[in-house]
Amino acid sequence: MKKVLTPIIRLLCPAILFMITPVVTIAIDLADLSIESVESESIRIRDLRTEFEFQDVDQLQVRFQAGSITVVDLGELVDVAVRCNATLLNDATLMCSSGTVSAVHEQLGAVTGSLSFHLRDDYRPRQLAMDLQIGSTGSLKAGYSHDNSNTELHIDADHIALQPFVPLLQSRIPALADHDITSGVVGGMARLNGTTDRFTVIEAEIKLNDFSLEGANVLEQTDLAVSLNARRENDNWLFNSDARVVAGVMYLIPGFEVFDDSPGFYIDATEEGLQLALTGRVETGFSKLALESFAYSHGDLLHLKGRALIELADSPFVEHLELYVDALDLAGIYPVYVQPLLLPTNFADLDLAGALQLDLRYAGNELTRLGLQLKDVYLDDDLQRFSVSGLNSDLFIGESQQMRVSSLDWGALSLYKIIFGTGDITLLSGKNRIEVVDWQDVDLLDGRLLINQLALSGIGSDDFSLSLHGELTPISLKNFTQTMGWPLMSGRLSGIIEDFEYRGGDLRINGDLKFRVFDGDVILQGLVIENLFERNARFYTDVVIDNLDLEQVTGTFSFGRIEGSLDGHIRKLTLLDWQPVYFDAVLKSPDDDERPHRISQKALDNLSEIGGGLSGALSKGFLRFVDEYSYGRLGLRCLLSNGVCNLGGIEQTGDGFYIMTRGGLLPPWVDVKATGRSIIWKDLVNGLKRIAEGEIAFE
Amino acid sequence: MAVFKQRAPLVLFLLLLSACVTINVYFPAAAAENAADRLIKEVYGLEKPDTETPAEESAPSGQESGAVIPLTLTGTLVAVIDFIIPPAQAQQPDINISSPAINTLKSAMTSRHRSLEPYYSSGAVGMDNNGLIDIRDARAIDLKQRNAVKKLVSEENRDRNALYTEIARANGHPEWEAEIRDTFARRWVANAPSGWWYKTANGWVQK
Repeated sequence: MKKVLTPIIRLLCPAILFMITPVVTIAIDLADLSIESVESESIRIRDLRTEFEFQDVDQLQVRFQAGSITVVDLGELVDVAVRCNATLLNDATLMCSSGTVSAVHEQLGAVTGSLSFHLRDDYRPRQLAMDLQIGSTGSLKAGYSHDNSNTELHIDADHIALQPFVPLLQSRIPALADHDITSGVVGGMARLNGTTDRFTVIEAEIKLNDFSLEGANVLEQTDLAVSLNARRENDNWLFNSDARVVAGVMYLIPGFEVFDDSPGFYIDATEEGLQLALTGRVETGFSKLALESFAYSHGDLLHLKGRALIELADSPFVEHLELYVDALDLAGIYPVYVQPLLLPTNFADLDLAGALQLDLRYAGNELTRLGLQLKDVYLDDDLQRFSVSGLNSDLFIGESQQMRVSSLDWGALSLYKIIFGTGDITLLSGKNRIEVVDWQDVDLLDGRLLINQLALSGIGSDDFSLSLHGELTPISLKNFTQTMGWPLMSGRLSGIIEDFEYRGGDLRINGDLKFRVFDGDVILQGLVIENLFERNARFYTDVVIDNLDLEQVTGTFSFGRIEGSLDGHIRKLTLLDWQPVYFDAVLKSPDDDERPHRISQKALDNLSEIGGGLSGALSKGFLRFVDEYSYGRLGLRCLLSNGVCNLGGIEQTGDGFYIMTRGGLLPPWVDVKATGRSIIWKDLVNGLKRIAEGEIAFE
Repeated sequence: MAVFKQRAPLVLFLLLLSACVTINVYFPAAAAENAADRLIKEVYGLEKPDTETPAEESAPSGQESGAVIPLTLTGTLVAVIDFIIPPAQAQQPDINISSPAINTLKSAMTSRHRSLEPYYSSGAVGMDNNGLIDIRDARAIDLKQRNAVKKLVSEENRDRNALYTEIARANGHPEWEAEIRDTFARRWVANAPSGWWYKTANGWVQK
């Protein structure tokens, strides 16, 4: 207001004082000054007419009229009229104690009210007061006083539309420069006190109703109240502020980055109001913001408090942060505050429940303290990759070298389709390190994972890793295959897990993974799963198969019985999206097999049928009426590449190869010869599936 | 002299042994463009899914042949290789876009496209010049849906990045990823309907 009025006053006062000064001896009853246009950088006045009518030697009536006054950032007032009975004081100042003002603003409507002022001899206002009715509902009372040592400004406003003030607000508040205020009315009060050249104390209580803001940050029909107390000390502003939002919806982008993204938060304040309280200090030139305390609450959903030191330079950043979070309802918090942080990751589809308390300190670009308490947390991945329930933790990573006991336990845990039982880990944590000191073995289906060694590192960082050495006590293959959705198998599965490591999204078993199955051994060597939780997960391993009991293997499927042993290997087994795309597999009878070599009629028929691409030539003739045959050796090779399985057998012939050679102790003997050399992998798998599902009946 | 005569065959043999022939396998731009068009049309729902027999990976990682294959040959084979090399160089290998991983990614992208399409049409989402997509005008998205769209964009970009990697790997040339990405960046735009937005060096442009 001061900036707007000053040019007018400065323009008019010389004329006024020239005409009314007591030293002028010419008697003037009426002075009338008309100017077609007056312009400065910030104001333009058209059709200006000023009249001074003397009632007495020191009494005069001042009438000021303008066709229009256009003020930069405030719009146009038309039909402006100011009338005042003024007194010319002995100190050459002019006082108007009771005046009227009327005008029409293009957006606010009619502006009418009373006015008083006291102009100093240097043409600047010593005192100015207005009481205006704005439009049909708004009102504004403003008072300004200025003397040799003190300046005061107070404003009381009620129900004033904000939109006409958008350009002014945008030019004064940098954060609003790229935002539009599309609706809202403002009311409240502001008191500013200071010295002759600057304000040093600010008190304000402002209410905004139906306030809508468009831009990167969006507010729709919000009702909010802000209070501010600020005091200038030296070059710093000390302040405390309280903001409440009680209605409306918002989409807020605070500006910090997580996973190379600036998260945005959609918040509906209608049911659960928001409150933000700040106490702090803004340092010289707005270079640094020291929040001595901040507290944010969203109804009963989230309570957050702490302290922070923020550099406000060209690229603002948090220099120091102490944060305490109390999240009592993770199910409610997740979609509002957690999921937006995870959107750039592959973990944004979670169901979450339970409660969390977090205590962290961040300084010098690193996390220096982390306390995490989880209470009965349930977490389920919508993509069905993992889940955990009954998760509790009292985890602490501190700043001091002194180690402290932490714990982590859960009721149930699943990884893909594998379901683990209860777990309990005791940790010893200190500065930047964490050690696992005790743990409970974990149930796995009807077996148990006996953990001999377990270590975690980099908890809460990108470098998180888990390593484990253990042993799997026998679990029934029926349970396991049922869980995995595979064809049911009988027998039991057990194994030794050496040097299991999860790091950077990849799972790696540096040693062998040995399974005791079908009375033999299956050993996975060099198992690696790249991008374990990604859609393009890649699985690599070599497999060694040692002395499996074929009778148990074939008894598992509806393939028909084969007695004997099976050795072999699968080299460079590669799965993409959990489907094999490459391997070199050789399965064959061991050289010194001690088990009898017998094959049933059904198994024999199935051997000749699988895939359809095998042109089997069975040497059976009248023997088709016999239930069981002897064979010498059995062997099959498949080199899967480019979707085609290139086949080989136990013995080559000129026009093909033998899958099964003639031999054994008791007649009748049988051999199986194939003449094809390759089969499309999908056909082979479909053939095996049909046999397993009993779609093809041979008996 | 006699010694030289005796050793000459050996020297000649060693020289021939060290002779080196290089076969350059160039990025098959036309085939890549064709393959990209087929995949993109499927994702856009303009074409039925590719039912051709998948030519899956020929070898696991680490066994792929490089772009430059040095061969050390004996002299007697040089003439034979000279005869063979021209057709090898002239050959334009096809681009395989049908490995299990590619199919999974393609299927996810096709399914997601149904959700993204209204946002392409409204101009809320556009195609960038790096084979990815981006939110062009957040104001065109209902406030409540902004994070849902952001999630769609993030998932789509993750799958597109994986797709370019997988196509390069499935074709035995991981080093082709950048060229495959460039090809796709152009073809996503070329196959897009009129009205969709795409980013150029000078900013967003409406097709």
